[in-house]
Amino acid sequence: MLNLNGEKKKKIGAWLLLSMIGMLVLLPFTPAVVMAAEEKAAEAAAEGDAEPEKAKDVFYKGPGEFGIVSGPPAKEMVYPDDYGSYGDFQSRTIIWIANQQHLYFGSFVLAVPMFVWVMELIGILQYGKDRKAGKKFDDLAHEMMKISLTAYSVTAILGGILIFSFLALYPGFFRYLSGIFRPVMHIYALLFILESGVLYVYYYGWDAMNDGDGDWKWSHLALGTMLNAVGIVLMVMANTWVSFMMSPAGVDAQGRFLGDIWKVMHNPLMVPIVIHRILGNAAFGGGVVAAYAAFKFLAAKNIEEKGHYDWMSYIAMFMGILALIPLPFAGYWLMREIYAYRQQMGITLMGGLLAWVFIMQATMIATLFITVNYYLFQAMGRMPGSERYHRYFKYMLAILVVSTIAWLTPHTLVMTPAELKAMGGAQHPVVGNYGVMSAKNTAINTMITTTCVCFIIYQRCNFNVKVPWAWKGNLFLFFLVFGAEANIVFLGIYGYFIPANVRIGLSVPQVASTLTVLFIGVWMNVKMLKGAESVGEIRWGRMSVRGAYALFMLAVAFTWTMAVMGYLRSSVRLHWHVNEILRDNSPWAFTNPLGYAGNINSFNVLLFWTMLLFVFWLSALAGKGKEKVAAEAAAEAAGSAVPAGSH
Amino acid sequence: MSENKEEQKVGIGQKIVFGAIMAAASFLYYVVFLNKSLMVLQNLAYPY
Amino acid sequence: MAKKKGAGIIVFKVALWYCTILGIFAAYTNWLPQIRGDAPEAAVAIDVSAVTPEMLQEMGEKIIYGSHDPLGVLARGEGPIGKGQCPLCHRFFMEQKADRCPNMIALKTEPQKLLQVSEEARSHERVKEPRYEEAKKRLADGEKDSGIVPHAETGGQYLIESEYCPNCFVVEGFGLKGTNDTVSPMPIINKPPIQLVDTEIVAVVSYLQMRDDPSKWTAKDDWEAYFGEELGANEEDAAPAEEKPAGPPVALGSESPEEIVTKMTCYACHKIPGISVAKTGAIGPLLIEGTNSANRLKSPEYQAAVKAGKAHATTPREYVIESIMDPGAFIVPGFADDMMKDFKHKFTVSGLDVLVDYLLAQDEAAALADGMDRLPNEKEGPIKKPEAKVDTGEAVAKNKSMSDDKQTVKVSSSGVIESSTFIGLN
Repeated sequence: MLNLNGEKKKKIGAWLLLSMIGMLVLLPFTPAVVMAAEEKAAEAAAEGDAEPEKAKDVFYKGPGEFGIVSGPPAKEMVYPDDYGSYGDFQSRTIIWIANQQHLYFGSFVLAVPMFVWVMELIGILQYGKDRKAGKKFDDLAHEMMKISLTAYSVTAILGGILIFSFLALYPGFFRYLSGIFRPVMHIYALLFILESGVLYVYYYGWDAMNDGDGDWKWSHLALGTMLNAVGIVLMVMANTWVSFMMSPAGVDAQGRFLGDIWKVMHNPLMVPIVIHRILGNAAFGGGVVAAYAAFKFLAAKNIEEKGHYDWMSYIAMFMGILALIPLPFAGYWLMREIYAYRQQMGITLMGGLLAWVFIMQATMIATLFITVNYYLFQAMGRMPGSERYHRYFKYMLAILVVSTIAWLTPHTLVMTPAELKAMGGAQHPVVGNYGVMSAKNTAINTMITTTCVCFIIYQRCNFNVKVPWAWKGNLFLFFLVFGAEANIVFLGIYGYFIPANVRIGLSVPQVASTLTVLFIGVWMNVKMLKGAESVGEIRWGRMSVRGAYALFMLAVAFTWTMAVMGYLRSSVRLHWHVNEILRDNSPWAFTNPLGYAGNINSFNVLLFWTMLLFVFWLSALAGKGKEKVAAEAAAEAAGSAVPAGSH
Repeated sequence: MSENKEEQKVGIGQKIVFGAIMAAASFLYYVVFLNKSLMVLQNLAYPY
Repeated sequence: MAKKKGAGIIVFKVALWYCTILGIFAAYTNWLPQIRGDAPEAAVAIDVSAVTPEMLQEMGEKIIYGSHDPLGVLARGEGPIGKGQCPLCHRFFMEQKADRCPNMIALKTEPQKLLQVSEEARSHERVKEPRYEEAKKRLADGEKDSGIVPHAETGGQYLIESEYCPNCFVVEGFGLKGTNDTVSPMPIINKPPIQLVDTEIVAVVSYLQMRDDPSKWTAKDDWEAYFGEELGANEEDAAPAEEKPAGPPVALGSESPEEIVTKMTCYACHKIPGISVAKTGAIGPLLIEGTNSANRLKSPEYQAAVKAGKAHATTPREYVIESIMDPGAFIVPGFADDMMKDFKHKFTVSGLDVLVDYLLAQDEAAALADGMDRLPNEKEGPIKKPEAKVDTGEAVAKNKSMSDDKQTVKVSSSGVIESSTFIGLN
């Protein structure tokens, strides 16, 4: 369909496409400009007639932060008028499931293009040096995109289901929220259409535009950039609704819109949640792709195929972990912002109603780390020369297990009076000492440090270091790790002797020690591997079956962690639809206990993976030359895109 | 932890000296630099 | 490993693996403690003119018990305590243990005539007691804390008066020891810390009146007759205060001792030096654990409790922790086993540390500085020497003004931090 003959034509075509992309990016904002102008005119007219009513913003408290009242107040919700239900089901649980599924697929289709972009870039850069390697990365990117494409239509369908569930079950709430966000709703819809368009051109133009590392290929990468940009903007916009529900701004105490949509969107928790979400999505996307590859690895019929999927799963897992590392810091920042926004909200999270959820989170994180280490142990099966390190694994595993136990020991135990008497207090005289923050931080940092060491070993296990200063490098690494661990343990013990308000500061040098090992250690290792003698090529495809199952575990743990933290974030609003503005007056305003959430989460994760299996199957069908299926799915997606965005 | 035959040439005394330097350096870095500076920063920055 | 397998078998195996992991995760969450956060009652703006007696009764029930199912709460072994905190001291049910203050139920088994009738009927008897006439005369210039001159005419008015001015009439045998039943241990209900608004007090009285016989409701008229104004006329600020976080209150390490004492309502029964809300509690011992705990540990009564296998503490710190976590382990001589038993569910370890550190830092000197003394039923006897009583008036007034000063509190709380430096468990 594209005539790519002739250098000149190629150039012109590529530049034409690029400028079109630029124009398209601007498109959604034109109506906003027009509307802003109209609003200004209306305001001016209103000022001419009568003094418009002004009201104070609930969040932006600076001088002159009075906005012109531009919307109706939040109506007090009345049950059953403003709520719908399906039989005896908790309406909220239905919305919960609909939201979670939409979010899973949304995250997936948001995260995969990020990986694809990186893979494609690596492919282009490699192409000049090694055509085969370049093509390998490019094919990987293409294959990932194929999965994402089918998932994209499922996302759109789930978005439609979500909207309809809202209209059916929470019409009053939905009316209010869509009233507030009316000024940007059409931008969302237009961006959605734009996203679909770019996605299809990006995917279906892949082969046509593939000229190695030429202009067409770079234009194709530019399309990928735009796909990611639009995707992130879409996510940010959807996120503003959620963060507005948690920490409203831009409205007055009665919930009346004050005319400045930017203040509504830029509410106090919006930025930290967005950052947290992007990182979380990336980690999650990595986990899902890794699981996909692991499945393909298991089902592969020959060693080439096995090798390809072994490699793919490793790359995906690695990128997921890369996104996982900064996640705790983003989480810490989010928590600080929550405390800054409402102290009480922070306390409900960390020390009140929802504190036990963090125990669950701790379990998930411990699971993640142990699984990553286990995977690396298994993955060394494909590395010739790794036998030299096998004897260390058992010690590393022992350290991990001990750390996990300390990390999981609960702080206060809820007990029967008899048990309490037997123990002499809610805190066990011996075990209780391991349940406090000092011990927990020490444990988690030890786990991360161990993982770093494991990774360093993985990196070098099929090489013989050849640099003349190798012995110095080894000693340096030894003291780097040993010093960090000694410091972590020292700070942990020191924490028992100082008051809580000082103790809380110890976590920072602990984490800094861990990060030192991570960055300096890996950097030094890479330096030492320069010119190293290979013991043997990596035998992709030789990973044990248990390694693949570890990857499944990793993927489930990612998905489940996302679900439980979503429950936490949503529950912290307690009985409010929109915190302190719109009260939940339905019978489901209570906060479900953790066990119920755990059941729903497991159900959600299972449902998601079942649907994903369908998606994989579908993309496999398309791969067998039945392009029609994907085309139909695409048509379906385009059809449902409009209702999903237009409300 | 050395894996190379050639590395055996490095004398044990040399190793001990370098090891001691590294130990001191890691002590200085972790305990003196990290702990001190970060705790000072923390006390200034931590508002809760 | 490299055997040829059908994709179906692999899907099945992987699905099994998924279900196992998910099952374990779900089971683990179910094994952790389950706390359901109920939404607080909606803060409804009350239109007093349109309010029905039944609405008031329901509101009163909630204020007293914090629940519409107090017996259910009792059955779970917890105290049904609402924001009015009445059941801390008054007995509303046979199943409940509270005898500090007069009964609110008709005790079918009691021989005395007065205890066989409902509180509503009892209230009419109270106003006719000669002791009420005496109180009227004695307090003709107004009761000193509330400024109210007792003038209840009917039973309903008496119930209202008792909440605004507990000292106006003290039921025989329920006054503070040594005051000859002229001073009540009950706080003034419309002032801090309980601070109910007028409508809420009317609601509580409505509940009492309608409990046994809904036709006996006169609370609103009683209030208007008693105060000579329309109920709700000046209740602009009657909107209930900002809601608390859901779930049971939990004492946290990040809170000050004062906040914990307020949250856990210790002040309802105990006096604690340096805590501004805890100046009147007269049901439990004065909490100067720097002095008390060591003495109590040594006391023969405590040793007896140890022998009986009830108490286990060996250090003052353990003693204080035990007393909060397991109040029944040892009862200070002269007191009853009245303390709430559910604190073990309401403290985080660090929160408990904060309170214990604070209590251990309090001693006789701190109590004197704050103008507090032991209750007459404490075995140790008053801290103050009798001769010191001569100039109490001025000294107490001075100390009181000092303790209101924030600086006093600060000094003592920094003392806490110091002491916790080495004692701190975690």
